[in-house]
Order: sequence, then structure tokens, then C-alpha cells
Amino acid sequence: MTSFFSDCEPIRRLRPSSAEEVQEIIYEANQDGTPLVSVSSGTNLQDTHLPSVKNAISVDLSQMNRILYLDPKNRNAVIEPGVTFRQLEAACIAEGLRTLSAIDVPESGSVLGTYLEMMPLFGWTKYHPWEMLTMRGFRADGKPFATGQMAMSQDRPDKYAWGLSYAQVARLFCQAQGTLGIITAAAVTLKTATPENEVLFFSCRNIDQAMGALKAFVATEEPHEIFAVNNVYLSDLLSEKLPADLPPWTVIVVIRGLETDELAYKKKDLGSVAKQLKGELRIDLQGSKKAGERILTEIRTPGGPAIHRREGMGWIPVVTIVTASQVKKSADLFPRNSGAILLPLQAGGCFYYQPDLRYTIGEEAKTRRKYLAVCEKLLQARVMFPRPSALVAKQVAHRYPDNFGLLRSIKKAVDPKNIMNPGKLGL
Amino acid sequence: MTKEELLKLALHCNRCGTCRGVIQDTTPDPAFSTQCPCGMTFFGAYEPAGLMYAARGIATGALQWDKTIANCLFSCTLCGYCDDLCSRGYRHTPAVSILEELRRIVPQELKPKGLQRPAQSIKIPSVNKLSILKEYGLPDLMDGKQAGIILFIDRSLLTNRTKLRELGFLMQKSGKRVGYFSQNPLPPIDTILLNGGYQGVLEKCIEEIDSRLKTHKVKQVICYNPESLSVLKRFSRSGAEFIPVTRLYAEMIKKKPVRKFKFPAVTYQDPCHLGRYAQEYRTPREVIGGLGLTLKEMWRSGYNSLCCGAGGSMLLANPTLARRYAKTRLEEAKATGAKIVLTACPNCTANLKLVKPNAMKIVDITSLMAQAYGYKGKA
Amino acid sequence: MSTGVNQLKKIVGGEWVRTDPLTGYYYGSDVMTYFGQGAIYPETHPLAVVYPGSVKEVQAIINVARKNNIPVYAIGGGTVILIGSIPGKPDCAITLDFHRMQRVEVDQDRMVVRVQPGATGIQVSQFIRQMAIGYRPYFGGSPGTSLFVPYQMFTGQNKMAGYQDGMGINCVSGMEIVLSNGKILRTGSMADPKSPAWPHGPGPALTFLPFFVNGGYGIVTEMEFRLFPTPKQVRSLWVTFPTLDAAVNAMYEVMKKEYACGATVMGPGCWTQALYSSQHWQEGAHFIMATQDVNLIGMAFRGSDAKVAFERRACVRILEKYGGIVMPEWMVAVLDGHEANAAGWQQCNSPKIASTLNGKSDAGGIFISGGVFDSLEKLAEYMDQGMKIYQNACKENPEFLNHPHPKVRLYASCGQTYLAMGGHSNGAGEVIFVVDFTRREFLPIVGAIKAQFDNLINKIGMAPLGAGRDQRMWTECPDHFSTAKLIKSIVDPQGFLSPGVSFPLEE
Repeated sequence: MTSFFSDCEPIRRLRPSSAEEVQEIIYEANQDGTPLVSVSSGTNLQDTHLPSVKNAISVDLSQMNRILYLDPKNRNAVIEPGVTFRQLEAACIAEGLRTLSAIDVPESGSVLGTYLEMMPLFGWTKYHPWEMLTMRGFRADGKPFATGQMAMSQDRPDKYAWGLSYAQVARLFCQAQGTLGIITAAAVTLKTATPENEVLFFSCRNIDQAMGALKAFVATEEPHEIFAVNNVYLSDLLSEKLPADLPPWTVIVVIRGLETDELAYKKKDLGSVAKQLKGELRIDLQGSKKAGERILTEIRTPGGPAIHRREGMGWIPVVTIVTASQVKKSADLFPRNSGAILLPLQAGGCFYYQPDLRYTIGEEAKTRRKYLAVCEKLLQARVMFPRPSALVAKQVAHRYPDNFGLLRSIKKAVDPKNIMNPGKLGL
Repeated sequence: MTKEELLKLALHCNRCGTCRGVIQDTTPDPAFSTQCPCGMTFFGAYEPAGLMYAARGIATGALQWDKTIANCLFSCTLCGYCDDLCSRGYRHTPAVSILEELRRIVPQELKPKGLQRPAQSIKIPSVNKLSILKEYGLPDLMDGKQAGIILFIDRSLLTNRTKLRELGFLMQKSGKRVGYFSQNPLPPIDTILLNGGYQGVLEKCIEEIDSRLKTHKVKQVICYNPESLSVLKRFSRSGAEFIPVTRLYAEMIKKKPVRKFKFPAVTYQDPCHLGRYAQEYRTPREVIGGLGLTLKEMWRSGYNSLCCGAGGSMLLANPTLARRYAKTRLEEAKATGAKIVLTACPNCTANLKLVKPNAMKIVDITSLMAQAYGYKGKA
Repeated sequence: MSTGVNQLKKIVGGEWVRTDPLTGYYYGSDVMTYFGQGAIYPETHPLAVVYPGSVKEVQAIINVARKNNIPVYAIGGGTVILIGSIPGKPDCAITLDFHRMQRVEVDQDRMVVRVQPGATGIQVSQFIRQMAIGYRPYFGGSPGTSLFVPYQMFTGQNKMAGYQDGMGINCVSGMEIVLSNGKILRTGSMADPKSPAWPHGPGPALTFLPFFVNGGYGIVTEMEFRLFPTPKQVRSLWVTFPTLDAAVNAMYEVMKKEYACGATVMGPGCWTQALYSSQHWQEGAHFIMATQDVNLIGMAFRGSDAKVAFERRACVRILEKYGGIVMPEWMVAVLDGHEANAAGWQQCNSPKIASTLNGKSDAGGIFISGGVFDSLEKLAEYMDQGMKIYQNACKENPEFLNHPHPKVRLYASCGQTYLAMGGHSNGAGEVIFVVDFTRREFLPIVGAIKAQFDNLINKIGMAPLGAGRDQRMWTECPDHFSTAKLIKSIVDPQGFLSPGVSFPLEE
């Protein structure tokens, strides 16, 4: 077991420093059918950057780490895959901007890789999942690939518009786990940094109440970030043990603004909502000092899996999208020591739901069986796995035969030699 | 109209499709958001824009008359919704004028059989029942009597004893001196001549009507049939005022309240020629209210009212299709929860009754008014 | 072909297959083909128009078409068929008209509405409005437009809420598509009746397969898109500026501060707002005449009373700082239809842009440059240079201006800021020029102006909209187009779905 999700290791690691070198690598791999697996930072939580087959070569893009263009006026950046959140955030600060961070992706994570794989962002509730604009790179057959304005020849750095035609193409590489090609640059969005920020807490006695609260708060369109966590996850976020009598779920609402008046009306509005829910929005969390500050720090620079792996424990997230009615049933499948985070999407029409499995180091095999069993039950309940890990990809593909049939045809067309991360996604 | 004039008018339509639907805030059922009986039944070229394209094609020579175009044309009830809606904010495509012109120029052999004999529609039977009105004291202008107001006798009344009794009774109760023409009634026009494309014949009828109204110094003409009302309003140059009978009823109730009915809730079918053509929406509702009835409006009501299906002389041209349209309308009537559909048009009454809906009664407002005032005869 | 037609009649019933000349004429031309785009898009009649009543019938029709090699095109509301529903091949194709498929169902738990292609925006709006929920409708089009059009054909931009919620593509959560092999593909939230309302995945999202391909990748027979709770309040704000630059700079500051839920910047002759929103076309036309020298920002705010008040106040301060003047309420009245749009319902408007603005029927207003995407400052540059092109054309043809109704009048381009394809930060939008002309003989002059606009687009490198017959995607985005063609070869190897529309006709 190379990792929880993979039994294979790459036999070699190549570190291209330019798009041209990437294309060369792909061409050569096509000559002899060598499997390639691309990695930017390896922080996608499911190790899809590790091969599922033997004799694969890892294409490490971390050296391609230029911010090709920072556009403070339009609040976009054109970046290479090696650009990390830390790096981009540092460039943003000077311009009064910030990046959109991803749940459990540390600041050493690749921005492009994270967005390309559509890892859930804290800002998705407000900003929706459209942080990737245009991109360019190479298909698995080595042919150049670009979307919208990036595919146009004019010499200008600010090429953000998809062009909309053939929208499928513009999104094809998203959530593809590197099975269709390698992206060497992308335009991504940035947001405005706010001087006024506050975190509010709403305690919930169970997951149902948490979901209802999420939906009600989201309806105001006032939170910048909002999610619910159970106490296990919350304890990880705050790096502290929480009082035993703290209600099992907490909704965390982050409000931001450019002036204090803005926060004032938001607090009032959300407070009214809390009252209607027969609860109270607090600026502090019982038994925890500086909880708000800690949450803001986590959102700005998530600690990544490290915050969950403590005391010799392993941590495996289960990445799902669920309906409200699926959440409760799903939650019941996980043991008491599981953490969980719930992010409302589509005005509360669905949720990003990430429960986890925690295990003692050394019990990987047993935990893997547990993981497979729990995923199978979730699949039977029709829960969606948007980015199925290598362990469950085939089962997921089996549930969506028509979708994956078409994806396989597309895969075959762009990757006739099946060299690009073979075995992933059930393709 | 010349072909150039027809083309110019037809080009107003930019096929925005607005006239396919009803512009209002909410609906309980998307099916009640659609409009245009032929358009919502057959789609495509049967929609108002399709017919405007037919006009464009005929005018430019791109299309030649054939059975399909004629079929599209005569599936339209000329309800006027498309024209009315368009004029309320969009382009004002004068759809009614265009459609009437198409009906004028369509080859005779392509017209529905029921619309091929214009003379029939204005023929006065040798034996009519108009003398009934004398029993109620209405002055006969043919006897040399004078009356500044007359009751217009349309085709539906000539031999309809019951209705003549009800109307005679009500005219008597109105307190007004309302006359009529007996042995030589005015040409009993409604929309048939227009619908059949016999504008020339209609013009002659109007000339006669105008002349006789002037001669007899008639100032007001009460119309029972909204189709007659709308044609007279549009084409008469007599200077007389043409009013719907419901306006008279509303005045009567205002002057002296009458017996209230204790019925379950009713709904009301706005006749196209009373509503959209004559812009008379308020008075029938005042009458309904004055009679103590609870009105549950259909979602497509007022200027959004859906045609019952009898318009465009459909009862003559294609009675099967008329019934099909009526069925659609009655579904909406049923959905209001009302048990009674009130109408103020003999064609609406006839057509809705033809469908024989279960548990829905179709009632003419005139009949209810007559009952309210104590009419004991058959209603 | 007659075998094919007979087979089609067996599938849908004789009355739902039409091959008569009137039907061909009606489905082969529209106001654009007549008024001037005819030189580019001539009338092209289908051989038959077929009205399927169910997805099963659509499958059967596709199978017949494939076996008999009959091209298939799809039509939505048919309000402007130039964009993609006019057949690319004359007298041999089927056009599918979905008016018999008008089902609308709301799933309030999953916050989606499920719609068949024959349903119009207004039908859906009226139905959901009484439930105190809304969606993000296309601001324009008309009530007669099929709901599918804005979500697939057009950007579906809702400028008065698009800044917050994006466009049609951002709001779709799932599709049911009939592929060229007759099989049904269900994606995203429709992949399973219990699927969450999420379009992305598993794996690469196939939900976006049919977008902007005008039926070229498959025929959509049902779609789910997301709903929103109705905001407590919606208000708009309209501010005039002496220069376009000032308006653009003001807009950038507003966007940076992330106020408002939607906004649009307009150059002189602010036609779109008036026409799309006014109750009567004359009202709109008068507004346009009155704003010939005016640059305008329109924006909407939604939410609680406090939120709306705060953001509106803040935006007034910002816009006034750049020289903006807030329009008086009585002028705003002609524009307030947009507030319904921001609240989440279809505006009752019509494509008045596609007709004359001077009330004459022998003239037309046509897009001569439209739907190009870029960031706001580039749009402003384009608008500015475009106006200069027009002014030069007028100088060279002085008879344009010496007439009670100027014979050729350019109405403002329109740069709209909305969540185009991604970020709040991306002030992208589209720009459109409309020319109103009173006689068809001026079309060559209009054509010459268009050619210059096209050169300008090319020079700046603005992304093509790619709708309908805009071939710029084919010629200017090779690395995007090549993969699109590859997918086309997979999903429609025979190439009988919408040939000549979103992909060039094969020689």
C-alpha cells in the first residue's frame, strides 16, 4: 500500500519546467505507451496523483510555478500548476485581494490543481463553483488544448472568457483526475480582501437542525462562508478539546465587509433568522477562546489533513454531494469518532458532505474495507461521489453506465494509448 | 387592402411569441399560461405568428393559397388576444385586420362550407318571433313609433322565443323606452360576414343600418350579442352609441338592488367580443356582484380571457373544433372550483353547452337577470 | 425521404408531421433573415417539422433520421430561429418542435425545477412565483421563448442578478439528452431521481454537453435548473454618466466591493434596458431617443431591507464619485421591469430589438455585432471604437442624418457585467450593437459597418459568443474547436444533428 488509496508508486519522476517540455513528455509516452500521472502538489485528499498501475511516470508540475499574470483590476490571475495558495495569496495581499481556499487543502496546495479537480471551496456557497475560467495544456494524445479566449492567438495576457461554445470542452478537464491530459496554465478568479471579518456560531442539536439552519442563513445571501461541522471536526479546526456538553453540530457563519456598518446589518439580519430558528447566533463558542480567529485563519490558510491526523491517527475523507434527505441516513453510517463538514450548495438544494474515517496507523487494510463498505452503502442510497477515489471509481462508474460509457469514448478518443493516469475514474 | 399594405402590416410581427402566453404574475398550472386556441392546440403555423407569416408569404408571392393555409386560417377563432396583447406593449401587429383581410382574399372554394353562403347569415326568416317584444311594451319603430334607444336583434334572437321574452321583460323593467324594428328588422349582423371574408356584404348592411338609425333618430343601440356589438362599434358611422346589454343591467341594479341568489360560487367567461373587442370587462362583473354571486375568476380572465372556441364562426365552420376548444376552456373553469359558468354571449353559451361538461352549468347572465327581476317564464 | 416521413408519421401521428409549404416557410425564416441577415443566413426550409410528444418519440425520431441520413434541427420557442434552428441544409431536414412537451415540475426539497423544452420562461415563472421561489431567468428574449433557449443557446444572462448568479449555464443542474444513437443520457441532478441538484460529476460534468451546440451533440428533452428563495426586497438603481470611461471605472469599483446582485453598463442610446423592460414599445423607444448621449449603469440589489438599503447607498456614493447622476424615479419607472428579473422571474418583454424603433414596418433593428465576451475595460474600448466607426460612416454618408427619422441609427452597444463564465471579478459581458434602419437599401452600408466591427473584434481578440452561425469559434479558437470536433465525432459520428450550425458542413 503506497497510500490508503493506492498500491502503486511511480517508477520515475519528471519535473518539466515549461509547457513545451510537458508536450514532449506526452509525445514520448505515447510512443511507448508509458503511463503518466500528473501531480502539482498532491493535496487532493484522495491521492489521485498516485498511479493505479505499475511502471507509471510521475509528471511533477511543481516547478512550473509562475504567476503569469496578476490582474488586480479584473481580479483574476493566470497561473501555472505549481503555483501554491501560499504563493498566490502573498501576491494578492499587496493588491487587496485574496484567493478562494479549499476545505482541507493546505497552503502548499496547487491552486490550479485544486480548482481543476473542483475541490470544494469555502467560498462555494457565495461564489459558486466557477473559479476556473480558461485553461490551456495538452490532451493525452499530445495535441494542444485550450478553452475560449486562451485558444485565440492574440498576444494579450488577459484571456478569461470561455467563448461559451462547446461548453463541454471548457469543463472537460475539470474533475477528470488527469485522465484526459495535462493543463499547463489557467486563468482563475480572485476575490477582494475585506478588512472587517467576523465569525458567528449557531449550535445545533443534530444534523437535521444544522441543515435547516444552513438553508435559512444561506437564503439571506449575506454569509461569505457558511458551513456546519460536527464536534469532532470542530475540535480539529480549533486545535482544542471542546466541552462535553457542546451541542453536537455547529453552524459557522462568516460575514465580511469593507466597513463595520456592513457587518452590523448582517449580524442583525442573521440574528433574526437565528431567532426564528429558536436559537442564537453567538460571536463566541462556548468553551473556546478565539474560536472566531481560528476559523478565519483556517479559511485563509487551511491546515489540510494534518489538523485531522493527530495522535497517531489516520484520516480518510469521504467526498460526497448529497440531498437533505440523504444526509441523515449517510451520517448514521459513520462511527462516533468521525468528523464531518457540511457545505450548503445551490441555495440549500444540496450539500457538500464530507464525513471521515479515522483509524489507528497500521490498520489501513481494515479501514480500507470499512471505507469500501460504507461507500457501497452510500452508493446504494444514491449519494453522489463527484470525484470518486481510485478505490470506488469502478463502483461509481457502474452506477452511471451511460455517463461513463460516453466518458470512456471521449477518453479513448483523446487518449488512444491510455497513457494518462490509467485506471482512474473507472474509465 | 393591397398586397403591399398587407405585407407592411404583417411585417410588424417579429414572432416574439408573447401572444402564445398570458402575462400575469402567477398561475397554479403552467397549462393555464397558454393562449390562442388554435396555437395552443396545433402549434407551429397555427400560432398567431404563423398566420402572420402566412400573410407575409401570400403578400410576397412566396406562398400560394392551399388547403393547409386555409385550414390554419379557419382554425383561428379571431378572439383578438394576439392583437390586443401586442397593442398593449409590443409591436402592435394588427393581427385582426390581417386575419380578416386573409379571410377576404382566400379563394372561395377553400373556405369552410359553413361560411360559403354569406346571404344565409343575414337572411331574415319569413316567420320570426319578434312580435314577442310587443307583449312587453317595446315600441315598434316600423309602426311609426319613436324611441331613441333600440334593442338590436341579431341572428341568434330572430327565432329564439325564450331569449326574446327574457330581453323584452328586462327592457320593460329597465324603465327606459327601448324600441325595435319588427317586420323589417335591421340586417341581423354579427361577425359571420367578417369571418367569412364578405366585407363587401357587411359594408352594405352597415350602410342600411346607419341609414335607418339616422332616419329614426336612434341614439343608442343595445346589443345582446357581443359579436353584433363589436361589429357595429367598429364599422357604423351613424353616430349612435352601441352599448352591451350588460351595461344596461349594471345600471338597473345600481338604481334598484334586486333579489340576491344563493348559488355556489360561479365563474365567468369573458366573451371575446364583449371583452377584448368592446373593452367591456367591468359591467358584467358588477352585475354578477349585484346578483349576490361569489365570483371565482379563471386565471385567464379579463383581457387575458381564453376564447371559448366559438369565435370566428367556428360553430359553422368547424363545430368539432369548436367543441375541442371549449373543452380546454372548461377545464380551467372546473379548476376554479365553481359549479356554474356565467356567460354574456349566445355563442359562448351554445359552444360551452355543447361539450356537456359534468357538473358544470352554463348560464346566460340575461337569464339570471330576468329571474332576479321576477321573470316567471322559462329561463 | 418519403419513407422517412411515413415512418415519422407512424411515430408521432399524422397530424404531428407537417410538410406543407406554410410550415416550411414559417420554420425557414424569421425577422433576421428578412431584415438583413438574409445575406448571411438565407431562408432555409426544412422538409418536415415534427412535433414529438415524449422522449420516447424523440428517440424513435432520431433513429429514423439516423437510418435515413436525415439532418435534424431543434427549435425552442422559434422567436429568433436564425441562431440555430434554421436548417443548415435546405429542403432535406427535419426540424423538431417541442411544443407538445411542456411539462413543468418543481422539487422544492432539491430546489430545482424540471422542465421540458416546450415550456416557456413565462410559464415557469408564473408557476413558481406563487411558491415564493424564483430562478435566474434570461432577462431578454420574450415570454414566448422556450426556457431551453437561454439556458442552452444563449448565455442566458440575467444582468440584474447575473453578477451574483451567473448565466444559464451556471444555473443548470442536470439534463436528459437523446444522443444520435437514440440512447438517453441523463446527467448531473437528473442522473438519478434522487440525485442531488449538482451538475458536476461524477467525474467531468457531461451536463454542459449540449450548451451552445444548438442540438449538435444531442437533443435535450428535459432539464433541471436551480431555484432560489425569493428575496425580501429588490430595488434597482440607474445612474447616468457623461463618459463611458467614467461608467466603466465606477463599475470596477462596485465590482471590487462586491455590491449589487447584477449590473450592466450601457453606451449611448441605452436601448436594451428600455426595450426589455418597458411596458409599451413606444415608452422604450422614447427612452432610447432621450438617452442618445447618455451612458448608463443599471444595477439591482436584493435581500433584506437593510442589505438593499446599505448596498444601494454605498453604490450611489461610489457612482457619484465618478460623476454619475442618479436618475429620477419617474425615469426609472420605464426600467423597473428589471426588478422582477432580479427577484427571480421572467420579465415580460420581447425582442423589440429585432424590429424597428421608429414604428415603421419596413425597417428593422438588427444586431450587427453581438455577443462578444471580454472584460469590461475591453468592452468599453470596443464600444468606443465602434461608435467612432459609426460616426465615420455617417460622415461619409451624410444623408443618414438629414432626415426626420435618421435612416441609419446606431444604438448603443451594451456591456454587461455579470458572472460570465466564472468570477465575480471578471467584469466580462457581452457587447451588442444594433442598427435601426428605415429602408432595406441601406443594408449594404450596415453590412460595411458590420465588417469593420468584425475586424475590431478580431484585433482586440474578444471571445466569440459562438451562437448560431457565428463561425469565429471555428476559425479563431483552433485548440478549443479541435477538441469540440473530436467530441462531435464521438457523439454524432454520422454528423446528422444540426449540420452546418455549430459545426461547419463537411464538404
